[in-house]
Amino acid sequence: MNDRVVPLLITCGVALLSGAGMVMARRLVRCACLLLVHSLAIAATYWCMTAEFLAIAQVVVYTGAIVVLFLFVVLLLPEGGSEPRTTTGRTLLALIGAGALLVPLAAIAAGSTEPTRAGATADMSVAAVARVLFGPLLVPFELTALLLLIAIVGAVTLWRRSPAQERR
Amino acid sequence: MIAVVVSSTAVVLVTAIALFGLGIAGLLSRRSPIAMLMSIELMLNAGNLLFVLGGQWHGHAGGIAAATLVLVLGAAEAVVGLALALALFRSRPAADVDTPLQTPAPAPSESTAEAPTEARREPAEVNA
Repeated sequence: MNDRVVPLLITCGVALLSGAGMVMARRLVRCACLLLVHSLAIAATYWCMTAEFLAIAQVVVYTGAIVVLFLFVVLLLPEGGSEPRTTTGRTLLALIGAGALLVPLAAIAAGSTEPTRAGATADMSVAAVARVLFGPLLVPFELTALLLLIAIVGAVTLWRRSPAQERR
Repeated sequence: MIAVVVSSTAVVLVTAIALFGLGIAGLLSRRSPIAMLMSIELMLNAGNLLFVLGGQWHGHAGGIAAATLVLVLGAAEAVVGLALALALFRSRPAADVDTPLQTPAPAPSESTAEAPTEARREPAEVNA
């Protein structure tokens, strides 16, 4: 994988920059557009990591469905969902919270060593992924169908007006 | 030249950690529920990157399979979260999760009148 460092650096850089821009952008439409760029950059990163199936799934599911759903909701909102200005104390608190989590994470990452690649030649093809997904992970995989169904029913229930609200 | 100094696993590892931190910072600092949901998506992506990286470290396709499941999980989370956000926007004009919800007067006043009496009753039963 070492010959792919330069493309990985580019895609990871784009993903990080667009993610940072998304967190800091004031308007929600800009946030959604930067999330679009971010998810495409993540898909490109998967491609560079030889996970082609996941890269395509990321583009179809994430960029095509989730981010476009975000864009639609932002367009539906009154006044484009303008949010009140964030106070500096709040930003400081958020940075402290993120730092408190990042420091132990970085310490763990710095202490980790790359394992000996016993099975480095194992294939990462779609067939290999399917063998895992329909083998040991079959039950969780089938449960995601139920999860999606519950999510749809939940979203419809949340969005439906109750009879008391209809009368007002 | 860069390829000699930096290994590709380190690049992905650092990116994933930084993305997770960015997501946490966004979740804590933003006030619009939709921006908070987008920050959660950032954190999900960071976790997915680590899944793929871990799978490649061990030469096992299970990392990619797990990341696929997380992708579906993210879709379900976005659907429910956006429905919640839209329901929130219907009840209030401003996009701020910090302002308390103004509940209709009659129904909650009954429940608040009920609650203290029950709370007072409980210690008596314990004593008896």
